Amino acid sequence: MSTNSKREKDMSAKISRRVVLKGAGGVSIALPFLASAFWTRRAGAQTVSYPRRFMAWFIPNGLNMTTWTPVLGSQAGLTNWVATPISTPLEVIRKKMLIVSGTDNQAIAIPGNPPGDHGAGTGMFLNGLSVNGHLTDNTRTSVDQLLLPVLNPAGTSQPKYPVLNLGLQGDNGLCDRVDCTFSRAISWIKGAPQPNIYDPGLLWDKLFMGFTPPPAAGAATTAASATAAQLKADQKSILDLVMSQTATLSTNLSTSDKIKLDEFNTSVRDLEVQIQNVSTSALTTGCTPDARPMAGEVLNFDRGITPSTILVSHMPMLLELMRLAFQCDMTRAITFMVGNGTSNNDYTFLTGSSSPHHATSHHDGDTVKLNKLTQINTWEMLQAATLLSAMDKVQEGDGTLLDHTTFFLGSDISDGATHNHWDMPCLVAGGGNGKMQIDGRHINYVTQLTNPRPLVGPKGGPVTGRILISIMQAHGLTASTLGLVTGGPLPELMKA
Amino acid sequence: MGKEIGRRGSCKDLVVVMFMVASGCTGVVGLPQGSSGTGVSGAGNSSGAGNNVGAGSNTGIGAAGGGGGGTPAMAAGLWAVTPTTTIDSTRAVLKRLNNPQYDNTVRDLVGTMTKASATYMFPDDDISELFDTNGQTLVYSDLLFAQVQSAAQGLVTELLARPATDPVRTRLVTCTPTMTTLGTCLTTILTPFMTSAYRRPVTPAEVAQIVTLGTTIATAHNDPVPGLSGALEAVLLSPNFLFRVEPSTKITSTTPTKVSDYELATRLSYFLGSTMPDAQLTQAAAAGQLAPAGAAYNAQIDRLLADPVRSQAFVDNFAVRWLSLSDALLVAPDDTIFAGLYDDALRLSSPQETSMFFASLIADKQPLPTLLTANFTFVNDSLAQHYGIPSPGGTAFARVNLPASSNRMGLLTQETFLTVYSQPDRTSPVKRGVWVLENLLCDGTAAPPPGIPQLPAQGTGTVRQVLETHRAQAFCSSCHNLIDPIGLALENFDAIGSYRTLDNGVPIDASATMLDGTTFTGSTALANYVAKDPRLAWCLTKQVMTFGVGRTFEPPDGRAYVMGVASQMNPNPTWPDLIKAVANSQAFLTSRGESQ
Repeated sequence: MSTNSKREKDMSAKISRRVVLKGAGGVSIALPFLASAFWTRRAGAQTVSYPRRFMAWFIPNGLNMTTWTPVLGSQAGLTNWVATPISTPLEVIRKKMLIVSGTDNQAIAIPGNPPGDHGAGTGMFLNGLSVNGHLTDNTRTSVDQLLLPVLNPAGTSQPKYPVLNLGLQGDNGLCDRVDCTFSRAISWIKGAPQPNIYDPGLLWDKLFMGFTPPPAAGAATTAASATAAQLKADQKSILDLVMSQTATLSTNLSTSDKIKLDEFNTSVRDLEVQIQNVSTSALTTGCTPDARPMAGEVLNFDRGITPSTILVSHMPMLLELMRLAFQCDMTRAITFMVGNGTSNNDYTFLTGSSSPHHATSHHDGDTVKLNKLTQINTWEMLQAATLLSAMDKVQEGDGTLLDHTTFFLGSDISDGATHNHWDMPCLVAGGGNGKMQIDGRHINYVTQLTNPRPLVGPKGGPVTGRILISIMQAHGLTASTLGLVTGGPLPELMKA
Repeated sequence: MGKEIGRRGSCKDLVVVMFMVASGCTGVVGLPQGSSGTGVSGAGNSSGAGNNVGAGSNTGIGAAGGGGGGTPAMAAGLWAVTPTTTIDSTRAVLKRLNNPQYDNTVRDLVGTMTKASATYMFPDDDISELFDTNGQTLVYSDLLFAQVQSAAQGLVTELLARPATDPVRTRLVTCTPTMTTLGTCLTTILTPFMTSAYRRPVTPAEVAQIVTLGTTIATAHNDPVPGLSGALEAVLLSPNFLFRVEPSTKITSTTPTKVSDYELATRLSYFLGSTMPDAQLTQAAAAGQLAPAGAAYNAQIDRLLADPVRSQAFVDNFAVRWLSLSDALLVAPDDTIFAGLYDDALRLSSPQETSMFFASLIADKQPLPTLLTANFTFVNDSLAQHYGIPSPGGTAFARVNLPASSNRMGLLTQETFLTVYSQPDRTSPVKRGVWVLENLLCDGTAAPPPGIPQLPAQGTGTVRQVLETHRAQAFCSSCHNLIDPIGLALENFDAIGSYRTLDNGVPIDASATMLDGTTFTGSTALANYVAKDPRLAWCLTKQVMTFGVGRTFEPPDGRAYVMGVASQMNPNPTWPDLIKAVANSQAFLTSRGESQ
């Protein structure tokens, strides 16, 4: 390990992503992780521990709140809620999640002009900072990025990708009065939006192309591996030169221009680290990728490939690759957008007649549209449940992959017809790093709900972003604010 | 219906903006922000806007004053600023090549036959104020650079796989490197290649750096080919290639100074062709003919506008979002209502119509308002049938004159606009009205405030009736009295852009009463009304400047400057006049640093 930590120091990169391998006879690398005080679940009881992961799942256009919000059952206690149509798919992981109702995002999502409900609600989703028109804010950094130092502690093995930002391709149309960027990205680094990977083929390449189990210690170097090593060295030489040119250029630029070159330089440096990691990432025994999915399926009306087609065909592939990315420790943070803010993806395949998501969410109380919205939302929740239960089947020591993950699901707004940002639909699942009380409750901050549950819930309740602060603190960050969100963690979510 | 959204807004508070009077000499009447009284006649000047508009010159340019900033403001709403030809205070930020610019540049540089950003799956560009050219907004992410690196590898492989006789290869690979001639040969190849790629002369030291890299790689492989490809890749990954660097900028001075000839050639080429300068432009730069911004410069503008590939790139990249061409592919009309009436042939045709129509406005040097008042368009059989006009015969597009009986005139009756700004199951006068206000007049409506109660569904009434109920509430009427009349005048066109006379069995009432009291009926009268609004020319200038200069002109002094640039045009300017005015503006010709 000492040589490795020396290499770590040699890396000038902000966080090295080099993965430490523990050779185990070369056949299978059972478990890649060495003991680390940070990860050890029970001090002294285990020598192997597992990484902690974070996942944020964004659903556009709010939910049909009547058919989403569970109502209390006949028995006492917050765990005795009765599933509604939209929450029914989540029954499979019911004991490992929390439904959080009645938080209020209004003050931060709609601070001024122009508000742009969807764009603003999406733009502040993971960072708690208000969106204003097309103004940039260099302090906008999202939770997935903020968590990196604690998910990937310095001096320990590193995943190939610090964060994977993923999404379902679809209708990029409406931007809702603010810059489109705010509707298209939920991961931000110092004001720079991080675009999503949409194509399952591309994601597969990022994860697995060139991936071979690393040779056993002492094994003879083959000609093929020597060539591969030389090609990597070539790439490193090229990227080193690019970085040196960038440094030269930077000396003759204004401050604002330097920021742009800094973004560029970071992306060059990160690629260099990823290339060096390409064949040394850990492959656990359960980590065998399926064949590469069909690549490059892009919108093509001539060939009948519509946003709807992509929705149906890409989703299962993306779910599978997300699980593998965590399981194979290719990353420890994933953001996923089921659609961009204000997505108008058409769900005809569910409803039997044209159902553009955003237009449908403007239901105006119309029963047909509300029923369609319930179908869309139920499908969305089924996808989340499918991933969560798959993760819960991956055994990691005395827990599961899901236990070692903290999952947050939310939306840009609440009810689609009124565009409220109060009574936000939220879900937390997974282990909460052992620090959160995730036990199947439905926590409602405003009022105990009765049936029928009203479409538009009451105002008030804590700021939605405090759920994210709870997650940040559970994972070891000390900050008690996020963007404009103050008040620290929500006590109801945390273990005493 | 409670709240429908437009592309983006730019409004402060609940500003009530009154339309200027279409005829007569009353000038622009409006309420300054925050005021609540009766309309204020713009700054007490009745000779600017009023006269020109009244004279029916249908441009309104004079409203901005007679250049030189001498005439006071004559505008309302977001245009309630004093025009000036003094450049505004916003600085343009270093720009990376965006996806279309990258595609066209590598097409011209290494002759690739593929659209690189699609082949190598670049992420979508970041959009600001409709356009993807704003340096501040364009970001380099890990994902983008990783794909750019794949592209560099793929493009060099594609180039070197061409047969030895291939003209592109012959032009670029001018010697065959061997291990002994490596240094000399690489220098021979790289010097012109880097000059093209960096869009400026390169120094021997810059070339030597890449030659050394190629030599190192070749030596490691004991093979010159990886050395050559590595060197070419390095050029395609250099920040000097991927960014439009402007070394002439005085980085600590906030005073605008003219950019160099090469930098101006680059700016012009990306503005009008979304690609690197061609040989003629580069020669003009080398001869120092551009920076004076005189006859030689304007001749280059004419030449580029006449170049079919480049002018199409301008149409594609400027108009694609401004005129919602990409959105037209994604509409989803309700197939239970419009079964058999809307199909993919129509879907694919509509953006083509609008694109060809816009291209013709430039090519035929049409006056700016012809955008709205043209009595011609471009159709194929599918669209002709939809519009109820004679078919040109076939799937190819032809320019056709629109008879009065077609009820169609200009952009606002084209399929793209009508369909994109509808709901799946009904028209949306609100969406249509907001689009006209925001995209053609660059004036804001306030975004809907939070907490709006739900409105009833259309039920058995007309859309007009639902909106009337809506406007009956004072809460809503302040903005919707401005928005709705525009859309209501278009009610003869349903959610898929078909002409109709009934809505839910009730005869269509396409009458509109504008805030200024003007009343008219139907789309043609609306188009004529908007065509005479002075904000149209200001807004079109602002849109072209935002795209061409690559920064915002939204702050008040940006708008004042836009009005000043517009005021420099001749009366009744054409589309090429507008493009030249932008290319000759100080914002386009200069750069500045920032105080440290």
